[in-house]
Amino acid sequence: MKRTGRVARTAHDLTHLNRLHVPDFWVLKLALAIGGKSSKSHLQPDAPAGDGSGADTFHFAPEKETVELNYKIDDTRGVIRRARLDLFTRFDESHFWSFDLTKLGLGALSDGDHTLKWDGRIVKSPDAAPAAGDGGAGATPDLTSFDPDLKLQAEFPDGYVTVGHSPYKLRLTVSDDENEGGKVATAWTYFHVLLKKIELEIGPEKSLPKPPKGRSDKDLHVYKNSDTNAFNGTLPGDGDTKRVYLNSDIFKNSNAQLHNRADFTAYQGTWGDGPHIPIFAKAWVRDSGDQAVEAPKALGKVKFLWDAEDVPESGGSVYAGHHAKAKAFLDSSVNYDKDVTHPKGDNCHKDRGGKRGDDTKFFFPKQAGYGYGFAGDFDSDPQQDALKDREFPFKVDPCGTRKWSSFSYAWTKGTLASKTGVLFQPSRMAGDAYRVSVYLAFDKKMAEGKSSLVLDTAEDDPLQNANEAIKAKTGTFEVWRRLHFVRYMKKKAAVTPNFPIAKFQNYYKQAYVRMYDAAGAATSMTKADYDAKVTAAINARPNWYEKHMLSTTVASQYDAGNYGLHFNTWATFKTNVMAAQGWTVAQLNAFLGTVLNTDALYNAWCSNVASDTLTGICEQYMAADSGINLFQFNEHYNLATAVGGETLNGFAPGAAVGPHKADPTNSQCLFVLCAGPTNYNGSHNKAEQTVAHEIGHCLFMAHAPVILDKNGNVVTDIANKHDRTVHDKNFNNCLMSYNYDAERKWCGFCILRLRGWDRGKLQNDASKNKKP
Amino acid sequence: MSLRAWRISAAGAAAVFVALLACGKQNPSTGSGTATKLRGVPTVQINLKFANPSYLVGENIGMTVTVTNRTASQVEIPDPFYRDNWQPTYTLTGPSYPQGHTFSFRSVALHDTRPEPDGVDAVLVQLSPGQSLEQEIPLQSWAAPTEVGEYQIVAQLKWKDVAAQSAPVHFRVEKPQVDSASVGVDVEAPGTPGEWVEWFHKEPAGQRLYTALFQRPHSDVHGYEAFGVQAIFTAGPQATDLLSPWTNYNRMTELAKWRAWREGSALLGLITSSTTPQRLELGAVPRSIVRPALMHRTGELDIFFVSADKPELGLARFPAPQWEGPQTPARVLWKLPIPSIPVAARCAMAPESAASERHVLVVAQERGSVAVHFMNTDDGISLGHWQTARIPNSVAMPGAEPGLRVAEDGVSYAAILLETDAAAHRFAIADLVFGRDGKLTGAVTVKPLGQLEAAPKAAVAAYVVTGSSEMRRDWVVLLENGKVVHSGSEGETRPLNATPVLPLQLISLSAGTYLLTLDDNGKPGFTLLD
Repeated sequence: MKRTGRVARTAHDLTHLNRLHVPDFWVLKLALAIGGKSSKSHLQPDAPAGDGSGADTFHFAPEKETVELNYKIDDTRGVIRRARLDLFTRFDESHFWSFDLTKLGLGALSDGDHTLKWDGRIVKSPDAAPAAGDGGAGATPDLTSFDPDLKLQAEFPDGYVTVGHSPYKLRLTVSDDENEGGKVATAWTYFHVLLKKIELEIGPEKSLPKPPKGRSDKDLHVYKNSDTNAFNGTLPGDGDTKRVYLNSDIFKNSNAQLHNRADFTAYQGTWGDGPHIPIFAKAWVRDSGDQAVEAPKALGKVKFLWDAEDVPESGGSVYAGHHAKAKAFLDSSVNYDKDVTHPKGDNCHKDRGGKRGDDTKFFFPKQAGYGYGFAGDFDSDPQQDALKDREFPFKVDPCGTRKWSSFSYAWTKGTLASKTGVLFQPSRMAGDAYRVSVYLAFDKKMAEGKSSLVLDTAEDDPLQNANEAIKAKTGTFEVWRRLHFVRYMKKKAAVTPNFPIAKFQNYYKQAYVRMYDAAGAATSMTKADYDAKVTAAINARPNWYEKHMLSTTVASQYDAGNYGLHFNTWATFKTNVMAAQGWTVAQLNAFLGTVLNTDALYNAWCSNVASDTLTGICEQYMAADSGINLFQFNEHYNLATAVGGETLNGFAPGAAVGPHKADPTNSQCLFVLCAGPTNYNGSHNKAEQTVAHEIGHCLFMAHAPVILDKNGNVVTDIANKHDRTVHDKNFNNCLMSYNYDAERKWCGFCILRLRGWDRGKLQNDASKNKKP
Repeated sequence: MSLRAWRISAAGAAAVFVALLACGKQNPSTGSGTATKLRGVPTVQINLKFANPSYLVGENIGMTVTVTNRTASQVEIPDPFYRDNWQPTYTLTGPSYPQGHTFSFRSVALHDTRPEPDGVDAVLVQLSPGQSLEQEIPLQSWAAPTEVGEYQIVAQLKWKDVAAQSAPVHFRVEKPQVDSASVGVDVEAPGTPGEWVEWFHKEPAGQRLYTALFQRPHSDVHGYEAFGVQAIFTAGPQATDLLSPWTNYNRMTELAKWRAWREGSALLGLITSSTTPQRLELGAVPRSIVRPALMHRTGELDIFFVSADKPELGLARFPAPQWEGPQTPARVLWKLPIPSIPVAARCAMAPESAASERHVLVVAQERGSVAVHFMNTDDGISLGHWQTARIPNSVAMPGAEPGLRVAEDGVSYAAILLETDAAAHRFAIADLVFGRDGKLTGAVTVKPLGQLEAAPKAAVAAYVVTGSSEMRRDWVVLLENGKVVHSGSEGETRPLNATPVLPLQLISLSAGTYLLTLDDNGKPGFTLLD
């Protein structure tokens, strides 16, 4: 630096002195202030001491509040030639923003106190200072007189400082050299842009994804469901549990599906990785008076981290209702790598078809977003004051390290200003339970020279320890399957007993399956209609001899009794066949062969004809809607009480039924309840158990083995092929068994299957389902 | 039987102790007893009777129960053959029930084991003096004796002042010793109740022929299980190669139901209800019988066979049975040279829409390639010509039976399991299509199926047999280690929880694929391949 000094020479006879000083200057104060609150000035150590007032915790709401930027310059000799404001963030030695105060005119550099108005905006330094004569120091333009520059700093996309880089350090640097080659004096102060709170809400219907073309609008059904405890437009509050109902009218199409993984694959095919629930968060900025204000531009590109926490099985709403053995089975089976997965917990593990521990299945899937506020490109979308229909508005990206969590970005303008959100996608597994949390992910840490977000970690502690103001949490989302009981029809009102629907519903409730009663009270078939349907069914029998089995001589099949169908006796059948075919006894015997040659075999054979014919008749009575249809008789045929005749309390057809039976997955089913009036006397069996059992078949459940010897072996088989590998080996009264020596309830294995778990990945010995 | 039934409360039926008179042991399969009034006057007699002294596990055991009023006046008792009644009771003792198992119609059907159930009305019948009620009850359904050994059963009737007990009756249960088994299928036949499984049970006196219908699952009530298991004939000790024929119609709707087998150099065919099989002497033990036998709606039964001494295919025909008068004898219609020595063969009957043509496929091993010879024999009389296709760089899989099915339009679909690298057990399946004229249509496609973990022991390919336009083709390979790989196992080798019947017989229903197997008791049945 070169500076020229001119000194008057002293007369030779005088003694006064002329002293030449290097002119000095200081910044004596730099602080932000509003409403009696001020940030603290930090001065150079060699500078004259300040008054120490103010606080390093000063904060304000950018855009919403205009603070005073106060600074004081000691430059009595007016040597300062340059002054600039620099804004820094943590861990970054280079400034984020710099403003050349010189361009506000010399008045901005003059000795004394200065005050500029500033609302946190980031403005570009003017190209030139105001012309002389435009005003003195008092006329120095405020920073608020400049428009926020949206391009100046990509991190401040709306031209305002944001919560994303708080806390900030604002530094004033002055110099007596325009290139800052001489003395440089500085002062600095700290300020914060903080959130006051985050509020969660259900996102609007429009934010749901579009349904696949030609497919059911499943997500909308979940969203609008108003059944018991459904979230139905409100999020579960802290301590509260809301159900996520997944429509699950998915039924078997063949008996072979009782013995394979069709239940799992059909449900998987319907619900995939789960439903979508829009959850929005509104971020309120904390103003200088500690009040919550909307300051959307202060959100900028800050990230919000969304986390799904696994709620333990024992906290489930049905936990207390399980049979003790089912509970034991579940306790063991859900205890599978509980502490090593992300997130930790006992929701269905990926090894069993669930999402827990699967880094490829997101609870908050990636979203492109649109409109304002998504990172990177603010102008790509026209102004969006109205939401697009069935398009998710916020940009969402998976986290880098916490892979089961995601980041979202807020809108800073428009109808969703101050809001962000995600599409929460819980797994489809009934009984899985979650709490969703959102965190302001602004805080950074340095590691190995790299900055990263504190919350983007596999550890849970940083999230749990986060300041309350920057997080919000829902109550519990509990996933339920929901089936519809759409028709309850009797042959006649005199058919008994009625079954208590609440008890039946309670069986399924234990598997987080809601049996929604859309049928109401039982209705009855009418005589004329029933008789016409039976006549048509007899005529349609594929085999001529079956027409001789079914009686066409009773005046009315409807009036014949409360049973489904009236059959001829074996003797009448033989007589009619011989007459119709013109056969000799030898020919008749050849025809009867080894399957119709006794009364008992004939009575047994007719059972199949009866159930098959009755199925076809009942099919015509099915409701149009998806769901379960129940048709009730007292016995399915008149020969049920005869030797060889088959007593059925109920049956579910093996083949697909209903208008949609050709579909790969059938959304409709029917079953017949046909117990005699006293069939439930003398055992623990009850009609509601039969109902649950038959629907279990429709839901792909095979029979459970019954009667075990001391070694646990089946010693007496049951009518149908049981599937011992998919029932708890230690429970002998599963609803899918025929064991009536105690009330039948679901075994733990069935419960897990009903919940959607993969039967192929479970053992019937619960101890083998536990890991470690 | 004239019954007059009404209901009274069981509560009013006081149990009365009576002294029972037990008859001495009679014929091993029959027994009767009488009851007395308090002063020892006979009132009601109850008698049990079995048709046979012994049964196989799973066989129908028909127990005839006869209740007779031996008094001079009318008596009123619970209808023994009405489901809701808890009287009479039966006590079965034997290996399955060492402590004795007491049951009634009600306890069996309704699981109500209360001795005198409250709130239930018994259905009563009145028996005139000397009148009897008699009916056969299916004991295997009421109290299945699943363990082999000697059993004893006793019936008791207690009702008001009536009490009776039968003499104990004994029978024996034996384990099936299946020597040869065969599944007959009514291919694409609407209304068919299921598959007809027949097997030989080896006995000292000969091969006892059993038959059963395996009803297809059509509700949750029944699985794919046997109905009406009965012995119908005892063949000679050398009887083998049992054939339950395949048809293209529902055989239940027709009279003639054949089964056939081989005894030495003779083929024998037996019609249901006949006691005498027809015998066709071939002159020499054939090299092999081509499966399956084919039964036409007219009642004809066709059996292809390969001659012993030369590569020659023959067709034996059992004519439609005569219900009166002498039978038309069976005969060999023709013999025709085969271009090369066969290692496997399969035949099939076209649907009736394609004139029930008989098609036959022969697999032969040639140097470095597998030769497939196909012929449409029309009605079995009008001979066609062999059409040959070759599959290079392949070896016929040991014990592998090809799949063959004729579609509605008479086009034949064939599938053959091959080894493409026998040393490494790499295997594949070849698919071929033959037009109705017998000529190969399109190219042979060979689809690699992977590598077997052990040497193959047997294999079979099969097409879906239920009414369907799809030509789904399944296959299964049985390995020497007892495990299987099949078309539904997604390449995995899986254990089989039953013993497969050889040669393998695969039944592809639209709803699942089943393999004919024997369970732990030796009973034939089907195992779902999933």
